[in-house]
Amino acid sequence: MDSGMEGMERIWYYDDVRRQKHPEVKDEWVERVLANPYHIEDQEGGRKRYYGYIEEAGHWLRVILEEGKLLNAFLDHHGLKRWGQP
Amino acid sequence: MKPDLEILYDPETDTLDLWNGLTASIGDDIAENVIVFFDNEGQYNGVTIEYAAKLLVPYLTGAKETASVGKPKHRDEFDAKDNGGPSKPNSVSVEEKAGLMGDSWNRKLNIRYHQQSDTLWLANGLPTPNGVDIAENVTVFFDDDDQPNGLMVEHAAELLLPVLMTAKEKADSPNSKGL
Repeated sequence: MDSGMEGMERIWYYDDVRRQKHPEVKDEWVERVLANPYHIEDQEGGRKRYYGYIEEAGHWLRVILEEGKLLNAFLDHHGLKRWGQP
Repeated sequence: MKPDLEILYDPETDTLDLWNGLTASIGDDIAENVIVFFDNEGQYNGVTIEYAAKLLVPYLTGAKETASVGKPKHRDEFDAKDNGGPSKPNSVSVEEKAGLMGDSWNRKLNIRYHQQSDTLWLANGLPTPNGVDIAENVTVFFDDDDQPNGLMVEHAAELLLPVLMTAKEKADSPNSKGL
């Protein structure tokens, strides 16, 4: 995952529900996390979570991929409890 | 007056969103597959339930009454940094104790459904002394450190089954992904 989100497939949920609920998440942030994740973990059901700290937001960003397609992205409060502010 | 509840469901990803339409910028996990969202002032405004039909339909249809889903890590597997969990309840199982010490998405998800009152509870077994309605029929419960630990949906089958059943055929398909 070294080319960010350019050209990545997106699941309908990402462009519709995710953009309604979490409009503050910028594509640039998602791209940054995918290009240089701080942590990656497998989720049940074959999904993968990518985490990275977004300095200007003061929060961690969680990006969820399903089979390489963008599914969801949101600021993750639990990241602060897990890793603090890097 | 409580805000109206918006129910958004994506059958492709089996993702259910319960939302009041207000800003829901920041997420925190109750347990694996259940995330609550709040705004910058800490006001809870939404919930996302992943694999919603697979998790909930068996309970909302009365086939099952309670369940624990997920595999809590043993505490020795956690990073040394992960020691800031909320206070322990008075009585918990060994597995729950392990879950308390680690990441919230590794906590067991306890699902309870009471058919007579049509009420659904999703919780992680930790204390839930405080509650706030995010919308009509949806209440988030949290502890004194503002850690969200539970969720209650009233009129659950009435509200959720019509949308979740659209995915039942897909969820029951032999080609569907297992949890």
